[in-house]
Amino acid sequence: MEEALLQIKDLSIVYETPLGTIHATTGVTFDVKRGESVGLVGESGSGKSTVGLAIAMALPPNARILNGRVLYEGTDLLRLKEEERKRYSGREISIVFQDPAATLNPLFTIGEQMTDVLMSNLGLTKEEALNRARDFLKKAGLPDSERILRSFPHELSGGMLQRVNIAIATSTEPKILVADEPTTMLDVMLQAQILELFDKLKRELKLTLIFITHNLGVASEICDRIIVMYAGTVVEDGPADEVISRPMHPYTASLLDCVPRTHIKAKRLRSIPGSLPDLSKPLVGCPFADRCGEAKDVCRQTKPDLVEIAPGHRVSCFKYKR
Amino acid sequence: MDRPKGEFMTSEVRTMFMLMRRNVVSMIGFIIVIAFLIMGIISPYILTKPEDAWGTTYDVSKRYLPPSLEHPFGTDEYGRDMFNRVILGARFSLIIAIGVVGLALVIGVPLGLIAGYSGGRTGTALMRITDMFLAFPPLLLAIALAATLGRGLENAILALAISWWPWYARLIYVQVNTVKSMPYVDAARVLGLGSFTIMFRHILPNALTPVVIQASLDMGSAVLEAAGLSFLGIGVQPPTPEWGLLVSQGWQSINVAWWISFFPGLAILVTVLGFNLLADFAREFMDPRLRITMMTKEVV
Amino acid sequence: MPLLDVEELVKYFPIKYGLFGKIAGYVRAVDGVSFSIEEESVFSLVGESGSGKSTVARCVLRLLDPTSGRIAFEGKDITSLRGRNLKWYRRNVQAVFQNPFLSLNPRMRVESIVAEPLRVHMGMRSDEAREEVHKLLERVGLSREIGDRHPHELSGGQAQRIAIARAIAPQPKLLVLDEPTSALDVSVQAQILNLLADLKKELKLSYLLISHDLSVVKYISDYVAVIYLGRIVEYAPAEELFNNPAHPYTKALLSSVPEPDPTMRKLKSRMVLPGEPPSPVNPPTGCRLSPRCPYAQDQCKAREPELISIGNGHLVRCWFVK
Repeated sequence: MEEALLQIKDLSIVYETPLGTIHATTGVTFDVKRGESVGLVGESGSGKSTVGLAIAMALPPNARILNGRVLYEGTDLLRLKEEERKRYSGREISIVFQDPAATLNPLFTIGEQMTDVLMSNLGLTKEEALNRARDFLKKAGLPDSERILRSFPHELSGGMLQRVNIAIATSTEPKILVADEPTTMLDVMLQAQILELFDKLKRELKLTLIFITHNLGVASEICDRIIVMYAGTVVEDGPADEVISRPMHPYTASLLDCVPRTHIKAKRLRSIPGSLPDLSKPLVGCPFADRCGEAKDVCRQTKPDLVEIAPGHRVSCFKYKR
Repeated sequence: MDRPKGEFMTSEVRTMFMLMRRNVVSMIGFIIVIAFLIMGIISPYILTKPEDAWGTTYDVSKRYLPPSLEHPFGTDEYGRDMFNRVILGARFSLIIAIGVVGLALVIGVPLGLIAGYSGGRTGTALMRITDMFLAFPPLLLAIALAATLGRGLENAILALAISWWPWYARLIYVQVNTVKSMPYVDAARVLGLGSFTIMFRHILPNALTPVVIQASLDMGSAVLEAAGLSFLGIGVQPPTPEWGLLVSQGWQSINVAWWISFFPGLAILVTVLGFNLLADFAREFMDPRLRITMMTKEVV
Repeated sequence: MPLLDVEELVKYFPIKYGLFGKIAGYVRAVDGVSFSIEEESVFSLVGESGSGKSTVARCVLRLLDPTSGRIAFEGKDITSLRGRNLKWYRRNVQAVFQNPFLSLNPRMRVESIVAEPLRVHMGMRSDEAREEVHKLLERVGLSREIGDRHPHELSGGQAQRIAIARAIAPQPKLLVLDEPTSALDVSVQAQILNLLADLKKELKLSYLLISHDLSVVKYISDYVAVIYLGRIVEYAPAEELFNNPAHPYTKALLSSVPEPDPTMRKLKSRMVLPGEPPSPVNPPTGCRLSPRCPYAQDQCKAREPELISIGNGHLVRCWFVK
């Protein structure tokens, strides 16, 4: 069997803040095969963004790796030196962020910024870089590429900016594309367009996609596999269709119940009582225990392992015996 | 989820102190400022030679004595102990600092608040007037005013405050404009609250913090400018032992008795330095990007 | 007599430039919107950003002065009332905004926040008010101790409950809910929606709900209007709108909603409109959707259709519906 392109092993990351340490992720483990599109789904505090940033080597300076490895084609990305990092970051591994305007410099045109990236990351000449930029802007659904290249960020709408970001991220033909909530700030129709774009690019450029979102619907539209995260841990990891139609972990099931659906007129939405555990302390037992309707004593004392219950479908819950 | 960028006295202040402790340089600044404040408050009560300090006596036999154990800062041309004079000088510097900054706030804040809240033509008009004042080099304006108003501590404070209020008016104006568009102000209007209530309960408390911080740090500059005025002969008059005045008085005898100007000058330098160090820290603290660097830096 | 009656509401924002504020044009945010809300009824206004839905809400809340049109509450015209004359209206019409951390004064304690309307509208003194505040906090599912905290110490869900408590304090008849759950996590969203549904029954409230989230709208609404570029393009009872969307824009909107369930996804016909909504400064001539509508014909570009009834209380603004 082909070895996974990306292997996350036992990843535990904390953020140092003056008011204490925040445990962003604890023991996160999963593999990503070449060409797969994986959805990291969770609410705030789930740690999904932290995992994505770790893969893209874009963690903020106050993040500290307590434990674990991020293996890309066998190389541990977390333990690379600065110069070695440049080989991968922005070239073989790219990232698109949530806020379309945040990563673009308002003082330079799109053309200037794109050619900058291409010239420094791929060593192209200015001419080559411009051609490539035009190419990928068109691929990202912006046929009017000349005009876009000459525009400044503030002259373009949110949707166009996000397409520009996607163009920049894909222009180095990366093997892995991390998308951190790329459609959360966009309207629903624009979101549908951008999701279609991701789908198209995924197939055209044979991308391995790590798609981070809080919306299970979005994840299921575009991902082969869904990894559900809660309080910094992986609670469920399986094929998208299965996780949605036969969720195993109580959190996944509750999450699905919470979402009002346009084709179902529910009398009352089921909500999840309680709130996240305190992330400034290391987790004891199953992090969902306090809010889980089916929790037993063992759940509060020991953290359940992530175990494969059905083929390709892992759950971290004491309900299931191996 | 967006948390507002305003200041929350509890957790933000705690964070601030925690970061300050890790940064030696700002700690020094903080200690200096605290020392200055304490000195300013208690100095009249801890003088060993109060008559010297207040300048009510003179003893010609003790003139121009260099620094020694008995007179750590030496004596001046009237035989007065400089150590006591400098210590008492802290009191006057503090009075001036608080007076100038306080008065400038009292004039500037309401003006900026009304200008910001009214907006439109009224606001712009008020700000144009403020801008006119801002066009003058501040010290020059203060000198002109002090010279016109006449000598004395109160006039010095008045002159400086009048040259200063426009900064605070502008600062508050900008803050009010930001706060005005916040949803909680909309909510206050939807609740049916009157303009007055909205201005003073909802807008002002949320707009004031940067201004108060700026004003506290400006106290150092107030000390410096007041010293400048006294050095020039306007403002505070002898025998008040204000530091700038002491420097000025020692100037004539600088060749014979360097210590008379030196120690008051040093006091000014250290005080202003302390405030500036604290101001640098505060500025870095306010900027969220620099703040992350602060959090990860090892102790300097 | 309807509780709220909005007739041909128009709001244009002038675009000024230069030293003397010359007017270059107008942003036609709301261009003739009419609707009415009965007692104990939930009316939702659905649209994307730039549609004008928030501007409608702000006009109804009299945070803005309409450019023209008429807003009547319980039969009385309130369009041009100001200041003290509006006090009676303000007691009856309250609001809950999108982000509770921005709509609650960060410097006030929770108790003062909720007590403010009690003092202003019901003349309660401190001790009376305190009792009433405790009752209100309990009614929205919070403990009385929370009264001593500040908003930023609370979670998103708790903060939004405070905002709701403040809104119902003066015993209003109508609540304007401007994207009340958009800024909250999914599991919390469900809690808040359930609360709003309960309060509506208990306190016999009417809601004007502004939202871009169709599933939320479907869950709680009685009537729905879809707004595009400042005009209502479709209006119907909720069930009718979701089962038989008639306007192409509504159909596209509904089909854009990401659907988690794989079986439902296959049944859904995907209709994604190309491009983005044009700027409200220069709306297209004729039907505003015509540049993007797959069914557009010459007559669509020539003249804007009226809102016509197609039975079942269903109104559509399109040339191709009978």
